[in-house]
Amino acid sequence: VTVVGLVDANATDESVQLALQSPGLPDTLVSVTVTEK
Amino acid sequence: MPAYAPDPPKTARPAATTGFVVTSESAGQGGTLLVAEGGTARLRVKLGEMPDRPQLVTVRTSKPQALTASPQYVVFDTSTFDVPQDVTLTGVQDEDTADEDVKVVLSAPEVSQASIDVRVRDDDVQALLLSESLLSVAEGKTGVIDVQPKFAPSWTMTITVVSRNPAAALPSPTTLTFAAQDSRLRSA
Repeated sequence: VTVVGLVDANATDESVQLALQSPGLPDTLVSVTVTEK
Repeated sequence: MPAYAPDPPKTARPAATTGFVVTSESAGQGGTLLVAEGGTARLRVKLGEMPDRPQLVTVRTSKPQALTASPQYVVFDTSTFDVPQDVTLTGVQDEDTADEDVKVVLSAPEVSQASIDVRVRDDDVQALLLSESLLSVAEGKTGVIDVQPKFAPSWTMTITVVSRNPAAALPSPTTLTFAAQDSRLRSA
């Protein structure tokens, strides 16, 4: 899975969770930090 | 669960003079003996009648990759035909999450064949394996996470990937598919 960090207008790093969901399984989480340029 | 009590043999060869008597103290369900993957169950085997001559009994399983039997041979003669001998069934660990239905067949030259239904209950619990659980990505850049099922899926496995902050980061693709019995990634 490719994760794209999106450009925003602020100067703050963003913390994002990606959830991988499949029927019958608990969500599997990935913590992503999008750092400022 | 009730102790296993096998159904009577369904086939009998005309030349056969007797049949097997098979019992087990292990759990059964609807005439099927249950064995946990990685676990064992004991069959107690004897002959129903005295044979004319010593009988070499072959014990085989229809799926040795799922269930093994030990020993694979036992002998009964005129003095031991009614003394139970133990056969240990062992559920083999595998790399999927599906139960396995197996037949254990007892056969000997002058004994009616016996077939015992066994279900190997899988102990594997599916999960996802990730190359990373923490990822740092710069704005305008990309990062990659490899995803695969821990065990070969028993049926087609679809995974949806969702960003909980789509204004900050987006995944691609958003759906992953793994075919049954296959851990190769297919994206959709």
